Amino acid sequence: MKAHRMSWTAIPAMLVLLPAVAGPAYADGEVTFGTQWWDQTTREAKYQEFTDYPNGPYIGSFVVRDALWGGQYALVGSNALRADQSTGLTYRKPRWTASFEYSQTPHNFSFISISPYRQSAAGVLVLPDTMQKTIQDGPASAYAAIMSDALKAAGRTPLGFRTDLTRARLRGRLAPGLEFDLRGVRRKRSGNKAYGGSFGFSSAIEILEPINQTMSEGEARLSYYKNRLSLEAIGGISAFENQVDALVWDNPRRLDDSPTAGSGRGRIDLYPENRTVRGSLSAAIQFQRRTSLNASVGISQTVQDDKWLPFTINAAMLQPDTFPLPGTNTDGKAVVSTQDVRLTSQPSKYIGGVIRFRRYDYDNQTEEHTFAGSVAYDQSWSGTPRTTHPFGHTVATYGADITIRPISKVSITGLVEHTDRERTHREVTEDAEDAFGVKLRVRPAADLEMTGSYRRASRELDAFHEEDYQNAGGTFIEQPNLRRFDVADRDQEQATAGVGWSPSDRLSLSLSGEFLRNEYQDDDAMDDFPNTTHLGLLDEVRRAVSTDGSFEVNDRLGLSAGYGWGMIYTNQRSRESSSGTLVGADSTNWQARLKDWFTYATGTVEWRPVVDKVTVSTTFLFERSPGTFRLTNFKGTAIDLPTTRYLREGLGTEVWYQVDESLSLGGYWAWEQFEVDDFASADVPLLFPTTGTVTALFLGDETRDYRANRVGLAVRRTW
Amino acid sequence: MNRARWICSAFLAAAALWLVSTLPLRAQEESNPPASSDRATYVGAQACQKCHAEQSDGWARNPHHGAEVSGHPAGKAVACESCHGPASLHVAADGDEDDPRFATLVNLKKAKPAEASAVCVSCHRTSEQMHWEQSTHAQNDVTCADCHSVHSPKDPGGQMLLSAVNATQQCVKCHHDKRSELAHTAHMPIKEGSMTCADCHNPHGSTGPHMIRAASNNDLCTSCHMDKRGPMLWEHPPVRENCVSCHMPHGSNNDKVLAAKRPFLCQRCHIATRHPSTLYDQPDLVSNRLFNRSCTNCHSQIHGSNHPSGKTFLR
Repeated sequence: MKAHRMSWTAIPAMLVLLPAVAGPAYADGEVTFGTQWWDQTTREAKYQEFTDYPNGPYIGSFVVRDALWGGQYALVGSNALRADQSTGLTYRKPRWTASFEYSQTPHNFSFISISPYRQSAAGVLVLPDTMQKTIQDGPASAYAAIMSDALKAAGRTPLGFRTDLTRARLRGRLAPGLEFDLRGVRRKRSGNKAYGGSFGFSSAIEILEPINQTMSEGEARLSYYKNRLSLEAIGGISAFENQVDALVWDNPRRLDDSPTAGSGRGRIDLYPENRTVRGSLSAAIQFQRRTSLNASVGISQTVQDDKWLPFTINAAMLQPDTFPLPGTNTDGKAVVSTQDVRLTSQPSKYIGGVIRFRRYDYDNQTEEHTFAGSVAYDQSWSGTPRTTHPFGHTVATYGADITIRPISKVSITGLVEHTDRERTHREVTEDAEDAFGVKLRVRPAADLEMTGSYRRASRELDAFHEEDYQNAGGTFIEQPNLRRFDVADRDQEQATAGVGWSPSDRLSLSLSGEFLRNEYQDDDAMDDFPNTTHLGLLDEVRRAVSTDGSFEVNDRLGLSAGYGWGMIYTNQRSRESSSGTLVGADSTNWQARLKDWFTYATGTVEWRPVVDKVTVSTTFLFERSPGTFRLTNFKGTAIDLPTTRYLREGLGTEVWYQVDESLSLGGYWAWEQFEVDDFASADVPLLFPTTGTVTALFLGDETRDYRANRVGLAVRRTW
Repeated sequence: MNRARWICSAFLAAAALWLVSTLPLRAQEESNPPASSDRATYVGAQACQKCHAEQSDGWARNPHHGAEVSGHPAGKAVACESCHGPASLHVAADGDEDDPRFATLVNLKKAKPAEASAVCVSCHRTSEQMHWEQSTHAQNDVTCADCHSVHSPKDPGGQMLLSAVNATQQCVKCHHDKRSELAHTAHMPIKEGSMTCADCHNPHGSTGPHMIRAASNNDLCTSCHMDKRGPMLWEHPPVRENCVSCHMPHGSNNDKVLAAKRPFLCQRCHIATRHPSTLYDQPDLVSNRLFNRSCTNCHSQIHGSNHPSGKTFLR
């Protein structure tokens, strides 16, 4: 997480001195730097997930532009000394442009983590052998006390990771109408995150997953256009490399591998490396009457050939060749092909439209592999043969929009769309969806616009393959009357409405609202199961409204504010019974009605007591996200889960004094508060549960409240 | 479904007929900025400086400055008349707004949407802008000038000529619902500025759904999250089909921008015999199925596993 501080310390000096050496009127730039005092309760509760607040000197932003070697360059950056820094350099010549960008994005989790594990090598987490041996040989009741002592002595490990992003791009014109565009991107992700490494049904152990991944991508585009024709060819390649491809961790309950009592270690195969090669061709041609036709075809191939690990790391249970693997690697290959054709036309000012066709095919060509069995949790061998399923799917969409403008201030758009989906190896192999919609836009005056839309869609599956809910022996492992929402029959309604009003340059107001309803219906295939209950996600409703406005009262005072409210409601039904047989009544059902709410409000007051000299601005932020969990069951024994709540609010004021055209001095104060109530992530104990038999070991992850204050001084130099 | 296919086929047939009716091709007439008057002639940027000193002063630092175009009647280097059209009549009006010649220049903010965008598209018609004509924005009369300000950009350094400080601020001016969603507790680093809407969406149009910069949601997500790209030995079908089945990329109340809190999210599709969901009868939260990452405390490889024992994503 350490920023590249040394390499950036020269920047403020350079930028401040630059005006003295910069060229004549052509050059310009701006740099803002200063120093900040930052204080926060519960320092480890860094909810500022993607930012790095400085405590001490900082460079807030800089821009330098000038002529150079017959072209012009621009150097733009922010937060140069911090872990969320970003710097971009662009150089332009008449026929080409080159750009380079480097940025860091921190992922600071609001957690504390205490782990007795020590990383002996990349991805290998070990406990003291003596401790494992003591627990293994001692009574089960001793586990909690020994681990408790170990955790008290354990150090804190930072949870979080950082993404370093480097981009380079060169684009230009080779000849009239012939252009090229070359891009390269490299993402480097490094750090730690919490990960689950269970040794059994009730023995969840949380460990650190070391992250050290590199993602590289290159793309080349060649475009040609002449008169009414445009052509473009794109080729690209990308690769994912994982420097830590397996995670091995000690079992706190055992030191030695045992064929019956379990494993001394566990092992997870982390994300396998993969590579993709892709290419596409696009053509666009313009006809009379504002008519144009665009067509694109694309194809890509992704391969993944990481070596398989053995069934288990438990050497006592599976000797080499006891249960040979059916191969050495997945030999994964997926080919994606796309076709897109769109015809756009506006033959007159009264009518226009689009007709479109789109097909996407994910052809998973990975071979099926049958394994003799498996070893769940590295603990015990199950001899049930298991076969892999390379899931694939195809989506074809046909659609048309027609827009009618009976008068210049009104437009009405009608929409019709049909979608066919096909899947391999799923319980629903085909479905089809029809959608109809209408959009209305009215502009009664130049400063007033009103919009509204409504869309209704219905998805129906063609076939339901019940055997996909059964194991190899024909026993149901999933309730046959469950309908998975991503493939189930669905009626969908969407509506939006909005008003925007800008009667003058000083005042603008807007108001908008959105509504979405998904109802997951029983399908005809349910006729095979008369009088059955309906399980899974039943319906979902989303509502949201928001408004914002700005008002320049006079030259000295400006106001702006925004407010938003939303709610997502879902209703789902499940079973309490462990039986896999079909149950036709609700007697063992429970139902969950969940609501996720959110509210936000922002406000800014900008006061200029001395115009062009002194500016005082105050900003306010409020974000609140509660969640409620209403649970019922047939027996009447269900209880609601506690309400969750995330609250973030902040207030800040800054004052800027403009000394002259090139220098401004500023000071600011800000306050921020974060509060959380979440049964899942607050007070997670290191040893779990707090009552009864201890079975699980966590990192003590905990989302924590905090309050923060900051005071700072800043200088803005402009030239 | 057959009826719908017939409807679509009819549409496509109508489209073909329409195309035939628009043939043959005519000489290029719309790809150049429309001349405001047949009598106007090009007079050069020097003539503009006299009245438009502010725009002229800033022009030297504008990304358009010095850029070359081919075949434009205003000249090889991009200048005022490259976009605003021939200015001789406008200059002749000598600042008199009542003179009908004054308004003979192309004003991108006052021109009809298609005409305003045509000025920009005459040069910017490939790469990012290749699919502009078919974009939802163009179809809804959004013009280039609604988001870009050639003379008064607000993005740092003015390299993208945006009317707002970054692409996100530009987008939420109209997409208020997305502004609300970004306020959620779990979100992408968009508010913080490490990402913008334009990292995932191409506002100039694309061949993907919702103007995303990929052929599908999954192709888009895995362009950054390549670790999830697979193909895996053991696959989780909704993961392979659509990331958005479980995640809400614009923000949510739940960890990892999940659409619902676990275990409820998982239990929308899984009511398996091994996990009877009796935990709700209990008057406390003593269950590792409610704590922390819930189901994924154990099923940590939920995006797919390459381990021979990874069928249920435990390894």
